[in-house]
Amino acid sequence: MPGAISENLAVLIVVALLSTAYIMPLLTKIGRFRVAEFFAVFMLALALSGGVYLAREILHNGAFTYAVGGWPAPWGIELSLDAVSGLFLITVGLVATPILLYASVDLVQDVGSRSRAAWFLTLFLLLVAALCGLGITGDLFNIYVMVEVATIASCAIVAAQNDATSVEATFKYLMLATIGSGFVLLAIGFLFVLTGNLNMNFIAQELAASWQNYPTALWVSLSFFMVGFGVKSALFPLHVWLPDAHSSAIAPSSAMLSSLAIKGYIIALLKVFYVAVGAEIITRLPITNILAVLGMLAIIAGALFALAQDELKRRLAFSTVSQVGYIFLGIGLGNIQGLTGSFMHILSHAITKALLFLAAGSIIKRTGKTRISEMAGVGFEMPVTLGVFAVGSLSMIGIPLFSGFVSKWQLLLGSLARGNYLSVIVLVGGSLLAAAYLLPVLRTAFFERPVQNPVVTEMAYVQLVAMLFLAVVILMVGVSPGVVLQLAKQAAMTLLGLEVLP
Amino acid sequence: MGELWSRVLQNYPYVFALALFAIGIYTILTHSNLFKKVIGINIMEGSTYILFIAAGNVRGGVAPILDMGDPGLVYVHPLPQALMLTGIVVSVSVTALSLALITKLYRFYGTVDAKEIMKIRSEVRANAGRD
Repeated sequence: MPGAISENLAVLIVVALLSTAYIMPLLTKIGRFRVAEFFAVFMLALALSGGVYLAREILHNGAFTYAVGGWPAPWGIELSLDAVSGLFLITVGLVATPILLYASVDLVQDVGSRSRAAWFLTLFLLLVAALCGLGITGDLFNIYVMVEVATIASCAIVAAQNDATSVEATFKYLMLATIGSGFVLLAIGFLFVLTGNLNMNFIAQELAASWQNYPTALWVSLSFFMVGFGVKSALFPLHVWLPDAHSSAIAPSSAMLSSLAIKGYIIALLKVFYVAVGAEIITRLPITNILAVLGMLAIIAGALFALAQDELKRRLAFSTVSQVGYIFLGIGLGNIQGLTGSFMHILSHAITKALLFLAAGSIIKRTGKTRISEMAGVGFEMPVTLGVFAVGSLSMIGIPLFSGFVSKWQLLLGSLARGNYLSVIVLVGGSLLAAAYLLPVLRTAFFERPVQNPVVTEMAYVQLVAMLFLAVVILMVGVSPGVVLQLAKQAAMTLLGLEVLP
Repeated sequence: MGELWSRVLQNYPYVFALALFAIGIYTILTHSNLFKKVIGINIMEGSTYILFIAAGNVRGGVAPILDMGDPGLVYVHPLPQALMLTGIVVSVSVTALSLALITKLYRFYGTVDAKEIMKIRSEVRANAGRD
C-alpha cells in the first residue's frame, strides 16, 4: 500500500465513508441508482479491507496512536489504534457489507422511491462511519459526537419505511436515546471538570494520581456513563425502546441496528471505563459488579420476554436484549477471559443477529407471515433461507463449531476464574432459554406440513449470497477462531493494562 | 453541614445545571404532548451547556483573545465554549429530526399526544387480531 495512504489509513476510513455518504443522492440523480448502490457496497468492502490491514498491523507491531491533522495529543484529537479498534473495525466491515448487499436488491421497493433509497444509503454509510469512529477514537468529546451521529442515523433508518408503526417507534427511540446522550455529555463534563482533559490517556494519568481526592464525583460520572450508554445499548431495565424500534424497521435496518449500532455504544463504554478511568480504579469500584448483575438479569429476562413473543422479529429483538446481557456480564467479570468473551460476543452476536434478522426479513417478505405459529412448512419453500436461519440459531444457542460457542466458552471460563458460580448457572440457563425460543421456529418451519402447496420462491441470488457469506463466517469463526480469538484476547489485555507481546 | 452548604453555594452553576437536567428529563418522561417532550430535550441539553461553560469560566476572566499589551490579563478556558458550539449543533439537529417525526406522526394519527397515539395503535392492533 502506498505510504501516504497506509500512514493515514485510520482516519481515512472514517473520512472516506463520511464524504462518500453525501454523494449517494447525487450519484442517483445524475447516474443510476444501481451505480450508487454498487459504490456504497464497494466503499464498505474497502473499509473492511482497511480494517483488516489495521488489525494485522496492530497484531504484529502493537498499538499506535494517530494525531488528527498533525496536532499532538493534549491539543489535537488523537485516534488510538489498539486491538479493540482493530476487532471492532473488522466486525463492522464484516457485517455491514453483506447487510448492504442484501438491502440493495429490494431497497427502492422497501422504502418507497429511488430518492428515498439514495438517502437511505447516505444514512447507512453515516452510521458505519460513526461506528468506525467510535472504534478508533481516543478522545471523549469525539466519542460524544460519534455517538450522536450514530444515534441520529440509526433513528432515521428505523423510520426509512415511512409507515405509522415505524415512525412511532423511531420517536420513542429518539427520545430515550437523547436522554442517554444527555447523561453521556454530563458525565463527560464531570470527567472534564475533574481532570481538565478530554484525551483518554491524559485523563487516565490524571485520575491515577488523584482519584482518591474525589471518589464521589468520579462515581457519579461513571454511573452517568453507565446509564447513558446503557440506554443506548439496551441494557436490561433500559431496553424498553428496542423491541419496537428493531422489529418495526425494514430487515436491513433491523439487522444493522441489532447487530452493530448497539455494539458501538458498548465499545465506547468499554473505552471510557477501562482506558479513560483505567482497570486499576474501575475494578476497585462496585460498578463492575453492578454491570455483572444487570447483565445476568438481562440474559434471563430478555430470554423470557423473547419466549413470550409470537412475532418472529419481536422475538429476535428481545433475544438481542438477552445477548447484550452476555456482553455486559463479561465486562462485569472484569478479568481477562471475561473481557475476551465480551469481545468475541460482540463479533459473534453481530454476525449471528445480522444473519437471523436478514433471514427473518426474507421469510416475512416472501410469505407475508409475521407470526411464528403461521410459518408451518416454510422450510420446504425457502430451504436456503431457513438453512442459514438454522446456522444462526445454533450459533446463538452456543453449540460447539459455531461462533457463539467460542464467546460463551470464554465467558464461562471467566466466571469460573472469578469463582462466580451464579453466573455459570445464568450462562448455561441463558443458552437453554435461547434454544427454547429459537428452535421452535425451525420445528414449525421444517417439521410441520404446510397448509397449502408451496407457492413461495427463494430470495434473489445476491441476497442468498449475502446470507450465506454471514453463515460461512459464523462457521469459520466457530471452527478455527485462531486469529480473531487472539485479537480479542489482545484487546482484553490492552484494556486491563497488561503487557501485550507483539 | 455548614461547610457543605458553603461549597454548594460557591458552585451554584453546577447545582443549577443538575436541577435543569432533572427538570428536562422529567418533562420528557412525564408529558404526553410530543412538543413538550422536545422542549424537555432542549432544557436537558441546555443544562449541559451551563455545566461546561461554568467549568471553563474564570472569575474576572476575559474572552480568550490574546492581548500582548497586557500580560496580567486572565482568560477564560476557550475549549468548553468550542465544545458547546458542537453541542448546540447536535441539539439543533436532534430537535429538527424530532419535529420532522412529529409532523409525520400527526399525518398518520391526527394527534400529537402520545397517549392518544398509543390508544389508536392498540385499537388498530385489536382490529387486526379480529380479522
